[in-house]
Amino acid sequence: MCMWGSPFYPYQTANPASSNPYKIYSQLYEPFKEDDDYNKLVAQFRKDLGNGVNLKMSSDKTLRNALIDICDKIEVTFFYPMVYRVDIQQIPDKRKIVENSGKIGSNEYLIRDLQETEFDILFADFEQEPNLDNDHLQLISESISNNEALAILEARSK
Amino acid sequence: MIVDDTFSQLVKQSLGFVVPKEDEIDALLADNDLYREYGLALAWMQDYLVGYSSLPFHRRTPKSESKTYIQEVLSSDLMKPLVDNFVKNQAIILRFSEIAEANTDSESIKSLIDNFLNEMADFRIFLREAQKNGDKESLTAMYTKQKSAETEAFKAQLQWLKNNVLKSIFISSLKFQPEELNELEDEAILLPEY
Repeated sequence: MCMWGSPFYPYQTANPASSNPYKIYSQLYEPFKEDDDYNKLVAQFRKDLGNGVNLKMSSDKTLRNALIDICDKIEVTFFYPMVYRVDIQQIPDKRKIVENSGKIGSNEYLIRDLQETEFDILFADFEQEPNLDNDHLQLISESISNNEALAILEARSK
Repeated sequence: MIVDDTFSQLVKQSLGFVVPKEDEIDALLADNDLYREYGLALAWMQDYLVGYSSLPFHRRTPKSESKTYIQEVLSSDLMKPLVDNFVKNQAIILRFSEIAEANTDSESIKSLIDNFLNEMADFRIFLREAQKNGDKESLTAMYTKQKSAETEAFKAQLQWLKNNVLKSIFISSLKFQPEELNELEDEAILLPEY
């Protein structure tokens, strides 16, 4: 799951378009809704997620390759954007890390250890989205094991 | 012909994303490991440049880190079949970076970088499709189109040299009169048409 943390101002935010959650949401929702597998932003997310896997999984090459291939081939519906609400005032400053584009003007934080009690889902309407199905619900459930999740993702990456 | 037109076309062609040649495309489609690593390498290249672009792509790592990862990929044995293509594209992104740092407000540099990133993104999308369905036609068409555009830009540049620089040399150094040059040109003595 790709988490984006930044104040959700739809207009005149200090952030450039590439760091504006409102714009990112629309840019991801559109290809999801249209099942557009040729969208450049989705293509970028695929490779960026793959590079993220590459950095985190250097010890297990087989799993690393499987996950990178999933990032590359997974159906575009898996890029369905969800908006989470975080009360940033409740997060201690030492846990709010400013990195990358945050250092060059964007108003955003990286929180590596965000707990489930610290956010709620603002909107992710699984029931109203015909493109989302049981697999998506299973993947966000707490009871799913790593192997089960991997099996679902591989089956949807053909 | 206006200098800026021919020059900008040539620059645009020479600073566009270098599409892999047919044998390189074959290698990419034949080896899943190579395909995977090449894709990641392109993502690092994009990351290196997005800060200079107006496209809505997001930088994931500092530039220095992207550069380190690019170097790592380049030194990997796995990448050997694509090393020529990779080095050419790497040279372009480094060049872009230098020019953009020296001209922070230049819209034309931004536009060239956007063009490079767009071409690279298009190639990645077509490559992914080809890898999924085993049909490389769209990729070879992309390569042929790029070669043809490069040739045309090169021809236009040569034509400009002929029309401007060489004539100036003939007139200033060899004391030809403009009308004499026209006669020579008519007889195709000066330079052949390209």
